[in-house]
Amino acid sequence: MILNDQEKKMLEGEYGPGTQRAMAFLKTLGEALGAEKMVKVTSTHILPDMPTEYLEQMTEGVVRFMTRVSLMPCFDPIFWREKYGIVSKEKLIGGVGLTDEKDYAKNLAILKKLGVIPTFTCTPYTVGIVPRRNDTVIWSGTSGQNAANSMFGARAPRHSLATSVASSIAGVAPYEGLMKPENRFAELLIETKGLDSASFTPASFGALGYYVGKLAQTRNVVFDGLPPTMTIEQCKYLTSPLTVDGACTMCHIVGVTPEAPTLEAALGGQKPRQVVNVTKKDLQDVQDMFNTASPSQVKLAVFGCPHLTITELGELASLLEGKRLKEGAQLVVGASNMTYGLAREAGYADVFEKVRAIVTNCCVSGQNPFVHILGVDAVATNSARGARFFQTQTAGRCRTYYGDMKDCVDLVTAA
Amino acid sequence: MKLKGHTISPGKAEGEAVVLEEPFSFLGELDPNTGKIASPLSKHFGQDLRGKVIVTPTGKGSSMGSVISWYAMKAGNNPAAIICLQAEAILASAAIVAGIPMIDKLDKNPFEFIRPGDYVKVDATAGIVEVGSQ
Repeated sequence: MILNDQEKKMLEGEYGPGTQRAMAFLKTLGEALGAEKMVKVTSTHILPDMPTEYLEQMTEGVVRFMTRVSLMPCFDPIFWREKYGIVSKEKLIGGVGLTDEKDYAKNLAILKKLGVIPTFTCTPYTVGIVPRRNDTVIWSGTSGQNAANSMFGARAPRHSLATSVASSIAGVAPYEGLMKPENRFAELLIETKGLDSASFTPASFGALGYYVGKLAQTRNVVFDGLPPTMTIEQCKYLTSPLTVDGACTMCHIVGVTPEAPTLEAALGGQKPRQVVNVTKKDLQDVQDMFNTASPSQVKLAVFGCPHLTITELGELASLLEGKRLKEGAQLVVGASNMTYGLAREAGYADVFEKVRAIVTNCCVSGQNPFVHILGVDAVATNSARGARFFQTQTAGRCRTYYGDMKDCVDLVTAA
Repeated sequence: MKLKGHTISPGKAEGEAVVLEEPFSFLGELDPNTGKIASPLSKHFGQDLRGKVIVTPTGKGSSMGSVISWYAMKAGNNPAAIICLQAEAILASAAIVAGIPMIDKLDKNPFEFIRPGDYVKVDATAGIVEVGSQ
């Protein structure tokens, strides 16, 4: 791999031990992935919940991050203890979030000192972190990666939290994968003619995304025949489950996404390697897999995987208007503080507060304290991504009810 | 039997093979506190991966996988080595971060030549896998 003079200096330790470790990691990874050089990165998005020792090692001697760094949601143990009296004795939550208050505070202090923007969201595009087409970005959070590529046309290869940390420090990343225009065309064509997609709900889009992600694995896909009027929220529910049991990071939707004005453009003028006709039964099978809880078992409804947009918060507020939570039921809503600030301006927050919904900017599936600390074992959600995470990150203990926002609200509220 | 491949994460290790037919993710599949497969939907649910050589098609899933391997490393619960058909960035990162030797693109299909329980030696630095000799 060819490094320029500055990158060589980083590798040789001239910028300190943390930068040296970051460059050594990026070089090993770049060679593993067949990259010939590094490229500059404009935006990185990182998750604060990482081992403190790891973060300390990587940032040793680092004065300032080299990119615009924003933050993923993270489990805030101080918030949950102070506001809801929830404390975990385990070091980790759901396998990821830090529950030790000192570690949490230490991580945040390190990151803020180095210049992060504390967005705390998995949908950075809802808080003004919007990549320009062809921008090179290294985002943690596979749903955000897919959104950056698919919805915004950014160069956002599939990468890990470790890469986003290293790229924040070194300001570069290996030039490979989806950064290269020739690697962005679709290989797998998804035909949706038999699906009546004009009347799809978010749960239908989620089931389709999960099914296709598992099938596609690392391949790029193009959906043909979906409504050209698809909203950003519908795109979010389609694309976010593509990376749950798959690793599909580039998804074209003909007539919707920027690199797919036509099917031919999405395929780069080539024939697709595989054509798959998704059937209603395929989607029903996914829905069945995510419906392992009976409605009567559900005492917790969760929305916001990925974080809700202001439009969705408005929809949820209108569904909750005049209702109350049933005895013993809980409602957890995930959104960024900035979006929730807007909801406050719009009056939606009054409705949430009245029904005592818990609104949080943490990750509501992977780091949900009701599921991962208090042991709630049946959850209703409108997110395919969330449903699968509840199942896998509790070793199957947590059963799920999968439906649309209204179905889930109806399970936990009464007039 | 000797197979040649491509280095993803350097290092040497050996152990019994665990053959996972499906792509692997550290997050959701490996419980860093026990080293066992945690996903109930996996055919290998409960399988102990500590000190084992994993054979898997590729990686999948969340970008957090790369630090789960760090937690598992600190607890001594990581697999010994990873062999895959073709690496992707998150599984590769997880291996590099935790110093797990990892190799891909072998000259012969590892799913045909490595059986569950085979003793496998991996020299990921040299890109060599030896099967069946302890």
